Amino acid sequence: MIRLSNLGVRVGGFSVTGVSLDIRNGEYFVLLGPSGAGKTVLIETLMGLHHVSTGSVEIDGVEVTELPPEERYVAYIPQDCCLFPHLSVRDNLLFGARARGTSKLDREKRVTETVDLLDIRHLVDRPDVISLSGGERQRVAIARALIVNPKVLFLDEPFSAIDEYLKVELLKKLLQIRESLGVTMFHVTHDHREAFFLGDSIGVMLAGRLHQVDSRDGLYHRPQTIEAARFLMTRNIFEGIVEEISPDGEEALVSIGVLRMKGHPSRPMAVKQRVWAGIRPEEVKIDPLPIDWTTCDAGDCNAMRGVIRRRREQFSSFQFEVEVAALAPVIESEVLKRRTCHDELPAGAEVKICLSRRSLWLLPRD
Amino acid sequence: MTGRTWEGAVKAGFAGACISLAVFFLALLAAGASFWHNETAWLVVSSTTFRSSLWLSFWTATLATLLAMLLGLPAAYYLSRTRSRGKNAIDTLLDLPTILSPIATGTLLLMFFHTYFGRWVQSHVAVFVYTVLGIVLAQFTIVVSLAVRLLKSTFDSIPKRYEDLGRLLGCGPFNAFLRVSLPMARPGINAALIICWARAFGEFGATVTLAGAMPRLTETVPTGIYLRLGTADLEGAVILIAVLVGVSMAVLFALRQVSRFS
Repeated sequence: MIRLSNLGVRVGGFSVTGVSLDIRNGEYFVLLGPSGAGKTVLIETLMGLHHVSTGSVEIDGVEVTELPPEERYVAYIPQDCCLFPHLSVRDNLLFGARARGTSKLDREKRVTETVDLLDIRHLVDRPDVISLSGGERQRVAIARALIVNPKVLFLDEPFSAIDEYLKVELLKKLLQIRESLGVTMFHVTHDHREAFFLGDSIGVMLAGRLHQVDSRDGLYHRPQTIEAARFLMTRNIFEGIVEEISPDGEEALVSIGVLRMKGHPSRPMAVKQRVWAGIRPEEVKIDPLPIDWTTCDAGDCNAMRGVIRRRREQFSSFQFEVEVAALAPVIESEVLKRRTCHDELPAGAEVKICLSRRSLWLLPRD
Repeated sequence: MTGRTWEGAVKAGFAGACISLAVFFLALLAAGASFWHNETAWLVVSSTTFRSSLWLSFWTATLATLLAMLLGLPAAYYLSRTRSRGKNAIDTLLDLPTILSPIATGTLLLMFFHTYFGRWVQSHVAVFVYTVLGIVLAQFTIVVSLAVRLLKSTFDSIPKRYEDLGRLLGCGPFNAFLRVSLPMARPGINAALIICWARAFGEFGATVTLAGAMPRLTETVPTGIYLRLGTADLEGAVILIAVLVGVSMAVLFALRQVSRFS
């Protein structure tokens, strides 16, 4: 298990503060955040490359806060792989095993097992690493890290420079490695799709602070801070006031300008409290006229009539901006292209939109 | 003037500057060649003075370069990796002999050996003033700062992440230096070796100030030129200049080979 307790670190003028986190053995943890959020500083601190200013780090039950990197028994795959350019592929693979004094027999056994797992047997005898392609370099870097049998494998944006179609294969390979070896993975990325594909749990880091650690579902539907919600691309975020709260606290009626909608409080809140209300564009259903109100789930839907003000076509979806009333905020909807009827929804068309109550989250405005 | 004509004029201006410089240096070599006499050349080359000065220049430059690399390498590595506050002050201080006139550096060395500590060194460790050891020390003082400058640039160009990775794979700090940084810096180290050796071989100002220019005792190739100019022996001087030109050309060729295979 990795346990961070109130971890703080200062590097140059940048600080990471108050990070507390538990990661189970064998878990795939993804740290998600934009560039400059402090993700790399945090994993470099966990690996022992920066001095901790507050708190502690525990890996596999051992307090490692003051231990040097070589005594933490972790491995690292940086963004640019950092294969040693003066060594052959085989020597790169064997670097860690030799440094740790593993016997020749064990070294060769580990190399054979690992190159088979990563399908790089054909690369092992290359005399240099310069001739490797981007994907091959990543596989060799992963193999080099795994050969030392690490307690934790840290990956820092490992596929940011890889073509999209190759990336999917490598992401699958990472999950296969985790399943085969049971190694704990700590993966840093700015890519939402990568995080949701890999992470058993995902942490959102913004401006040096860990905002939320949650499951995929929790993060997608229940952001815990407005900054996390904005980063997770909830584009429909409105200011509102709580009018009523259900007795069990699971539902609240809020007024958003001239609109009144029901949503799900992410945290306890009170009547008349000022709140943020948000819903992902993918959760806003949109249907052409004539309106068929019977298609709406009466128990769950905030349904209303609106006019499409703007329509944008993307690779796999349509984006609509819908105006529902003169003084109400514009609501965005994103619909997959397979629903061919949306081809016939031009700007200016009258539509029915439906905002699911379960998907409309409410956060207190602090 | 049209755009294309203006572009042509600019290109011609740059090319003109380049060709003028090449012509200038060729003219210097031609001027030297005009003093060349085969008989004198043979007499100079076959003299024991010449052979001794060539051999002295060769081994003192080699020893001074090796000492400079031995001390300069760890110093350059430290300066490249440290973020300590005094770094800039030390960096500037180590650069001083590169900027300072060699005669001034030689004079400072001479003055040092007139201090209490310098006299103690002379009487208890080794005599440097007007001796061969003085040549080595003068050359070392001039090239060590050059070595530090060149090696620091080399280490600066190697991201620290490689060492970090080496450590995460099980190396201690010194082992990571030996197994990662040092081999990665090899092309830069080779280049620094060649440049420092050439600089030491051609060093004159500090050497003549500290070690003097005594024929067959402390006469190196550059001081030999100085001695021959003092007796208006231009034909003799040009032979030694030819030796220095030959060495310089060999060094430039070696540098190109090093950069090609790195």
